[in-house]
Amino acid sequence: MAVDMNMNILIVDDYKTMLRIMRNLLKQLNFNNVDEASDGAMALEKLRSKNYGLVISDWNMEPMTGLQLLKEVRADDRLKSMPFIMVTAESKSENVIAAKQAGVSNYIVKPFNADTLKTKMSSVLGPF
Amino acid sequence: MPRRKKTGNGQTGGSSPDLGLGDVSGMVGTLLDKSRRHPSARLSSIAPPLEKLSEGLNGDRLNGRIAELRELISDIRNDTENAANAIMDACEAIRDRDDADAPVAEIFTACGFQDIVGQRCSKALSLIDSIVDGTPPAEADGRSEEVAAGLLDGPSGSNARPSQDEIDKLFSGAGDG
Repeated sequence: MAVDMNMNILIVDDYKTMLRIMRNLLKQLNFNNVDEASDGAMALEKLRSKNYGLVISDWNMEPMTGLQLLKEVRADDRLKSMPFIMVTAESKSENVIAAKQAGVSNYIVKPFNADTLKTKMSSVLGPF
Repeated sequence: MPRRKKTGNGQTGGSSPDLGLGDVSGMVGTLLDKSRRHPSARLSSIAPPLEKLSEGLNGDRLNGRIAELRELISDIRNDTENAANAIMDACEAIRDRDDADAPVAEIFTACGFQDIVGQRCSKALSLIDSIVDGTPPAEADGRSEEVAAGLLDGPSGSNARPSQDEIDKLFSGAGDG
């Protein structure tokens, strides 16, 4: 099944620079419908008020972390099958294991490059 | 006329028949005020913060935090150097090529150094606060569990940072057993 290039994507990060980088990279990959949130709580509010095809989230945010957001998403009947990619500088094995156990779709470690983003998105959404 | 003897504080000693009651009263008031600001009283007032600082400066705990600060500062220097090189590499590629998409993407991702450096600086500031206060930084309720589990330590040091390939291997095996 072809990837819907018009899908809404929610990017979540407390650093504005990273939101800007991610938005530009997604634009280069021809995804133009991108919304932003600066922490897990704001992201959850947006996810519950609009349909999204993918969440790309940082982990270390306040007050709600990316892991908490992931757990909330997986516990929500309407959102539980949402593709969710964690993009984070937290790179210890405990982090990867905790994220996978919580149901993350894929895991990108910062700093990352555009190829990595595309590869991980393809593995989650299908080739595009 | 005999010269008046100078006291330690620069005041002239002895009584003077020229002083009126108002002058004497003023002098007593000044002396009372000075006695309130006596060095011993002032030292007593700063003793508690000094003790707190002394506790903070104690042995291994301080050494550990300073070592962590040194490592953070060193990583900040390396991160900014790596990012600057990545940005310049991409700029040179743009200068030499017509197809600019890939190098432009590299420029965007190289700017991600701000995120990494920002996290390191926040951690360094938090460490400084904890050294001064002698207590670990407070965490929001929802984060404390993850902090305790060591899941919110921020970017790994440059030497300990795993590659994406290593993360992928870990991810594909994680949670399967």
